[in-house]
Amino acid sequence: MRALFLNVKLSCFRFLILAAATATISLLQTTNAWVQESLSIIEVKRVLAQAIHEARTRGVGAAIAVSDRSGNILAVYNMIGANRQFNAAGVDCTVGLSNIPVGCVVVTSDPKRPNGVPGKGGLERLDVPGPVAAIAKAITGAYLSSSGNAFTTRTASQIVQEHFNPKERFSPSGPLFGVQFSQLPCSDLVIAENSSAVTIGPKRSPLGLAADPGGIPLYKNNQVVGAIGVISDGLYSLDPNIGDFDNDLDELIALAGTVGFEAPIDIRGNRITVEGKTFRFTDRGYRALKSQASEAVPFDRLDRSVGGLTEIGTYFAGTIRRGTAFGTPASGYRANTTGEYGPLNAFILVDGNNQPRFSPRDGTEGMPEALTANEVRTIIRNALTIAFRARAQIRRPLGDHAHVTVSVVDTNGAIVGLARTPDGPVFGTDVSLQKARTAAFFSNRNAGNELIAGNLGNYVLQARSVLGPTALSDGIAFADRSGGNLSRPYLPDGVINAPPGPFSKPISEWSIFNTGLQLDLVAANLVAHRSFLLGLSSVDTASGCTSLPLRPETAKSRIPNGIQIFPGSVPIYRNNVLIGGLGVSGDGIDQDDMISLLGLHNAGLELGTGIGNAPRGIRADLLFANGTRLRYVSCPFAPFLDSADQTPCSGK
Amino acid sequence: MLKVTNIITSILFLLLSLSATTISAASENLELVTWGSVLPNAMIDTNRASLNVQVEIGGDIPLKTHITAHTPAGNMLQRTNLGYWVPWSGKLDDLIDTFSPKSSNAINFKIFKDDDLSEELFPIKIMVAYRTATELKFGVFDLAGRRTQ
Repeated sequence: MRALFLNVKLSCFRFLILAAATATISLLQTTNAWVQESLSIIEVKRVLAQAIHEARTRGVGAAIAVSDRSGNILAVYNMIGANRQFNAAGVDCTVGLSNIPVGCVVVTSDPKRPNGVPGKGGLERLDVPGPVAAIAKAITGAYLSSSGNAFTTRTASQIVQEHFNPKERFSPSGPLFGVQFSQLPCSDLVIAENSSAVTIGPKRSPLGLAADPGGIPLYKNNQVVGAIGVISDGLYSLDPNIGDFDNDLDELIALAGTVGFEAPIDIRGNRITVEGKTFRFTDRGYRALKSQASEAVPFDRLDRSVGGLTEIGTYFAGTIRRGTAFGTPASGYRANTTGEYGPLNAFILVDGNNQPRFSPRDGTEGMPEALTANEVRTIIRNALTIAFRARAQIRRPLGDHAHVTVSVVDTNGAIVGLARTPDGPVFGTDVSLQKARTAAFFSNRNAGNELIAGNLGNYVLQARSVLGPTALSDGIAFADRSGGNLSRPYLPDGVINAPPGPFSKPISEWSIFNTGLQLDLVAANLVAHRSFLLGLSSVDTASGCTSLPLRPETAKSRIPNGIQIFPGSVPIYRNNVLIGGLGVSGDGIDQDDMISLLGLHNAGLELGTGIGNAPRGIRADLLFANGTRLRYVSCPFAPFLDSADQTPCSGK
Repeated sequence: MLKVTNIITSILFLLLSLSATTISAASENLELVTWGSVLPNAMIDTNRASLNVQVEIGGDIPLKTHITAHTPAGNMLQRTNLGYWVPWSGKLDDLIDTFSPKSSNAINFKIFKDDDLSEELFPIKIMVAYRTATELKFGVFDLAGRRTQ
């Protein structure tokens, strides 16, 4: 035994101790102001028992999962008879997991069509075991929520569809259009192992984020400690009609599970507005429940005939475990203690040895223009500074600042820095990285060739037919808002009967389960993971999405956690040379845009090394597609808590 | 049904062994390419990991050989010719020559030998590469860990 990875860790640890001892930067605000809460095993059992009691009272079965905020799956329980025996093709889709017969659920973009909508394609009509869908719903409820906002999978449904609000004809698409394809099982950022031995997060979700009602966050003392995900109707779908109030069984059963762990009323989605529209939290409240939580049979006394804990692949080993306290090293998120982001109360990701995962470092390109570690550090500090000054869009109480994650990548897609505000929603960790990589990728002159090499040349041809023959090879700078414009089923966005964007499926085929290039980049990875979970294959999806050409510097493609198609990123330039991408996620999309643009702009002014936003002459907002100008970024008006500045992005 | 437009064409094989695992060009016809080839995934015993990868080199004349690892936690490491794993900047110019032996039109990359990886997260992304006078050719695979008592 001559070489151990552990040796490297120890030497890194010694280096960090030395650095800390010699640092001259004062360390401010690096401790948490709040008591860090978590779910105990007893509490997990209580959540399960209450949900099971409601399901039994209603005479249905359900698959139920409980997650902590970092995505650790604390329990998966499958009730006998839950969900479906036959899939969309009429084939028996039940599987035996932990000696429990488990029904399947079918992906459908129309919940009134339980066998899917013909012609929609993508994930439509796919079936997965019910507990797999329950896990995705629990993770979604946990990841979208924070101490300032409580969102559910119903909220997710509202903000990912082709119109916002859904069915509001001619209104643009949802602000988080495409977020369902994040936290993917092939993401290189998320941690694949999910066990009591590996608690650090964020963890992956087997289906990405869910838009099917029935995923609801759990709170203790005003802190989100996790979520419950329930699926009982055999359909993994969405709510296409926000004009009514459903009696959704999944949601009602999940709601029963949250009794005693309710989200604070003032931060629920229905208290938060975007574009003058309130979000939906749940369609029914606690008064709609048919059971009394106090009468629930204690979990340990439930008869085996009711159901049982269910092992699911890498997600749950069959034994209930306690949650981690978010913000402690065990969760994988903690306060930064190096002072490298100045006095800001920055948080970072850490590994199982409590060592930083993504400290600022040089770009990997080996070219003289590449990002330096100090430049990365300065960009992140400036972006976080904007976040701490920005009035939050999606948080309560009013007057709170934005909470986000900031990621910086080089042109290879290598992560060269990542940090966040303390309470940013967890989903923004993976999404900010997707956004940074997406901006860097589409701004790269190699983008077209690499898509062609990945057998996705049809999208390149479509882009060139709309934007011109040199598109994706001419060095035009694409912010995520620009690429997002091209990824909508209507271009211009929301205009019914307009043609699709070149990266989108036509509306006849489009659904949230078949978005176009975004899904096609990762579809094979999702299929491989499903086969792995079903035991059809012994090989899990690779760590690193897509079949695009690999980079020797990273051993992955340039976009190894998939692309994201809603705003919040900009490419990074040194003078006229593309050197990376900056992604921000966690607050409103205009806020995310602003933090990206101004963070990079201000860093450039501070550094004086040529770092900055794309020259205005190469930005994608010079391009027209289907008669409409693409957008680069869109900043909010009067966005700051400490300034009356009306249009801070103007001229940047 | 699920429509897959970009299925990875490489067939992935899972090799289980409690002793040494070898991914061999003889059985898999493994080659490295400039845009990166996807090699068969491997699984090792985390307490005592041994792994070799053998690739064909065709008519190439390799001048240097390289082995790197990317961990789930974000660490980038490279293997030295003495078998130590040391931090790597991610820059190709900083790669160390592992002097992996060449024989009968193939290179044998020794990745691990009786190493203790029980404290590591998986999967670990491994890259093997060789450099000719004009280009770098490489391949990657995921290393999964089988934890034993």
